[in-house]
Amino acid sequence: MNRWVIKALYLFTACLLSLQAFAAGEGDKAQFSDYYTPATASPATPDVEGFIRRWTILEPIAKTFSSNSMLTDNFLSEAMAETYFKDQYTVIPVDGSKAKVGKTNLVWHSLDSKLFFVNLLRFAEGYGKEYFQQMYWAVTIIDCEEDIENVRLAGGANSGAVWYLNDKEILRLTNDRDLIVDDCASQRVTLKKGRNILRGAVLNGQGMATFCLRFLDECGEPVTGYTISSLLKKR
Amino acid sequence: MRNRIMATAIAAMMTIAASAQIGSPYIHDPSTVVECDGKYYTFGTGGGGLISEDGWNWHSGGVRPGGGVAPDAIKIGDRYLVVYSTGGVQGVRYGSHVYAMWNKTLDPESPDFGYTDPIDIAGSNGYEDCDGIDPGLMMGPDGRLWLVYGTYFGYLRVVELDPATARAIGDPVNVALSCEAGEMMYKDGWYYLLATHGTCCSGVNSTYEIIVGRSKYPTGPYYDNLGRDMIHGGGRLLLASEPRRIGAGHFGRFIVGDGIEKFSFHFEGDLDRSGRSVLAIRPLMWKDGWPVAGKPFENGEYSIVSERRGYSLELAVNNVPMNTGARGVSRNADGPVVALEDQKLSDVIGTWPEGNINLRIGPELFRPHQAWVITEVPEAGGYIGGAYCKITLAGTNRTLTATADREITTVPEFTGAPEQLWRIDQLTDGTYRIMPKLVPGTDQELVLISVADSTPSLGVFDPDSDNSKWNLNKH
Repeated sequence: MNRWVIKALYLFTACLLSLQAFAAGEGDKAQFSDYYTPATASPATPDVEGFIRRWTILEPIAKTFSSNSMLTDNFLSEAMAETYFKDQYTVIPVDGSKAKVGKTNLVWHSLDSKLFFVNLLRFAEGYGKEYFQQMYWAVTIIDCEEDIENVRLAGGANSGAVWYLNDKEILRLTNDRDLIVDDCASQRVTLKKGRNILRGAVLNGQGMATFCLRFLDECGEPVTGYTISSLLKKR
Repeated sequence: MRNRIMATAIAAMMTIAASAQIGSPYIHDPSTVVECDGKYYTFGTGGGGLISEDGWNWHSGGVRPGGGVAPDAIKIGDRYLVVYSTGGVQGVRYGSHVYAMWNKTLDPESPDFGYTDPIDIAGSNGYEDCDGIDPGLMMGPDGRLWLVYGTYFGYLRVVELDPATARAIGDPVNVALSCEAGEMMYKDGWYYLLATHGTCCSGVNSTYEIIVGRSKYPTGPYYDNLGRDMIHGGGRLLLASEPRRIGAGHFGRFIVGDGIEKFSFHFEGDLDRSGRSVLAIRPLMWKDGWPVAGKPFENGEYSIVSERRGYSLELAVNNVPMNTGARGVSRNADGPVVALEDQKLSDVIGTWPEGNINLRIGPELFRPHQAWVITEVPEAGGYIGGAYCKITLAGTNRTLTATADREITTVPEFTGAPEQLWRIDQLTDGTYRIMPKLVPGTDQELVLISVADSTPSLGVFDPDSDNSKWNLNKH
């Protein structure tokens, strides 16, 4: 058979397959509501496995890097030393408030994840934002009735992440990682009586972007004796 | 100088031969190795595949149409089922398809060779948390056929297939999160899900690693050794990298026979081969219900120790006492304490007869008549996962040899005869089967056995008997 005929047939087949994929997919587009519900005024608690599902997340900030393998310690240190928006390490964002990044106003969204992890790609997609090569900032408020000592923040992320408890870095996940429960853990920390602020940023190049976090006690059991909240505008 | 360069080159080739498949084993995302009419086949990403006559020396020549990525293959009845996937990143649109096709043979030279038209059996629509590529096949103990597929973009899924048509039966089930290159296997009441974590496709900078979880059901949940669900990212490490070979992925199980299993996979980057992606085959062992990766055999000096008694294979020669002075049961404390030398070969070899010397098995004393050098003989060919070896007494050319009366002896010189070449397979329990390439006068496959605590011979391999098993303790 003529080589050009073969090529044409191949291209025709490829087009048919692509159309088939498109047709099959349109009706099944991922729904934001499959992943998130809006945070409410009522404080939440960790889920039964201790995962923190309530977060206030900033729409993603573009960050150029070619591969998750570049998310080394140095890269993360330099990335986190950069100022992206005002008061980025102190702000307790209100749902719907904005942060000015460059010339763009990005919005903070207070959400409850329906899954044990937070799907940042679907978050960005849901707000019509770019989702590859992005930095995602997230903040949550943890209230304790008394000091909870000797706990560790444990988590996983796809891919790099840095987390701060009450303004101190306690957990860093470097390099190209997959979402693995308890992939890394902090040293022992104390969740102090009253209000604690847990904040951090996740960076991801291509593919899925996710993170999960929970506190574990000395026995490796999930810590659940606290509440989680977001600051909401009066509705 | 030229000779030195040649010697260096030969030494380098020997190093490669000692731990990697030889020939041109270049492939990415290899399918599970399948045997067909005495030859071995594996297919890779992009089409085509590798063929081997012996499972050790690989070359291109496999034929798989359809292109795409990460195929898998399995023999069902008298046919071969080959699956592969197409798709790719189109923005966030991970729309992918898994295709299946059948063939009566994998030998492209056979008149029976010819694939059926591919049929679409699974995939992802591009909007869901699944990227339907990297298919893996498993036939369960009950004759039910299962397919696992997916990548880091969301979930790995398992779906049952009709073993007659390969078409999907029922709905796929999510079984793992944030991994890819899935494969399943069954053993002793457990289904195992193998997959990879880490960075793919970056040569020696890849961090690919094979992980495993297990379940009582093919559709999961699959838990790791900590009880962590693979849908939570769990997984017990099977293999990540070896010295000089980086990034293990795309597990495929190959059962040689009772008590002997191997697994095929690729290393993303082989530092001895320009960082190219290469096929690898390693022993698959089992410990406490979990698969464990065996290591490539290493040339070296060993004690060959029977699993039966724990005694060591030795020349049947007179035991020459070490002349260390009188040391009996008395606690004589005269003189300083000094380190004594081991008995040397030169201390005893003059007392040995010339010509053939027979063997026995005795208590390990670390004497010269118990020290064996096992060396791969690359030019002698190989078998699935290894090269034939010669076994010589350390410091000599005296060579372990199978005899026509189905016994063993040692001869003064290695000639390369097949009865002097030994296949060494690590068994699923970590011990070894030691088998001559050929026993003169018979086509029967016989192995080194213990017929008594102190007497070695050749006999039929029994995977349930310690008489058939040996440990290789490196000196």
